Amino acid sequence: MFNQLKKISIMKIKSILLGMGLAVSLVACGPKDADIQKDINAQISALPGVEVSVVKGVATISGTCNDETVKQNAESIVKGVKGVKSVVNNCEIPAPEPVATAAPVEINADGVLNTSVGEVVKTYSGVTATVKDGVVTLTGNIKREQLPNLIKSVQELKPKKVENKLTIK
Amino acid sequence: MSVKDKYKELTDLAANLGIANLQVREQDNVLYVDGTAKSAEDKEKLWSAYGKIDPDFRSADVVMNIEVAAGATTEYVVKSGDSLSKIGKVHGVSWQTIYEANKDIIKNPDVIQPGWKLKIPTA
Repeated sequence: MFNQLKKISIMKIKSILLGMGLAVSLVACGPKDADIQKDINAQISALPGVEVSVVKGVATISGTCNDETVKQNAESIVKGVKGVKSVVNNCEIPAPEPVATAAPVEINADGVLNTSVGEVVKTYSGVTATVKDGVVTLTGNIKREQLPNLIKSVQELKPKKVENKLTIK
Repeated sequence: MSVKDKYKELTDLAANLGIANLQVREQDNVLYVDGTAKSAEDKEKLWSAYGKIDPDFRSADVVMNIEVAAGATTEYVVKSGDSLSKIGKVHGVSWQTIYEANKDIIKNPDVIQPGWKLKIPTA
């Protein structure tokens, strides 16, 4: 039994050594990724915002490039670095900032308001509403505690204005 | 004093509460305030502030439309005798939170019908 154990452990050691040998020999071909990365970084230091990562000789460009020219430039620079096998260019060109102008206020048509305001006012006994040119006029009477909820609901229906002519009890 | 100036406290509060997509626009002497609040409570604060500046809402110079951010909800069927505050207590949320999440069904928070399927926001 002891002999068998000895055989197994020797075989194990041999395969580990073999594996290590293979690993070393694979990495040994061409410049290492780390070196390629260093070269690239030196070249693109003039392009702020551009980032490059290198895995097995494949360089991937990411980050932001101000415009197409910069993007192409980055690609040519990286392609020219020793050891780079291929380039994937994912540099983003930011969309132009839209000039902020306020959108016009949305006001619902009288027909729409009539229906939606009607639905709300139905649930508040004593309240009547009329709609003209976007202006909702509330008449009748209402309990003070209910007033804010009514005003809130009507204002949220996108009227032009809400005239509160209610008698508050 | 422009309408914007009159309601400065209101719009400042909206900014402090972090109202999303806040838009404050003045058109034909009416101030339009739009945005999305993080909670029903924040929305209440805005309406309180509005009511302080314009008690009884008589001035007709503001149209405020604040939505409340929607989140995960569970369904609840209204039973006879229920009120929003009762339902709120059972589920650990304010009645305003339930009201805001069901504006399409509830037109008046004091008026709810048995059988209505309400969405109760889960905290």
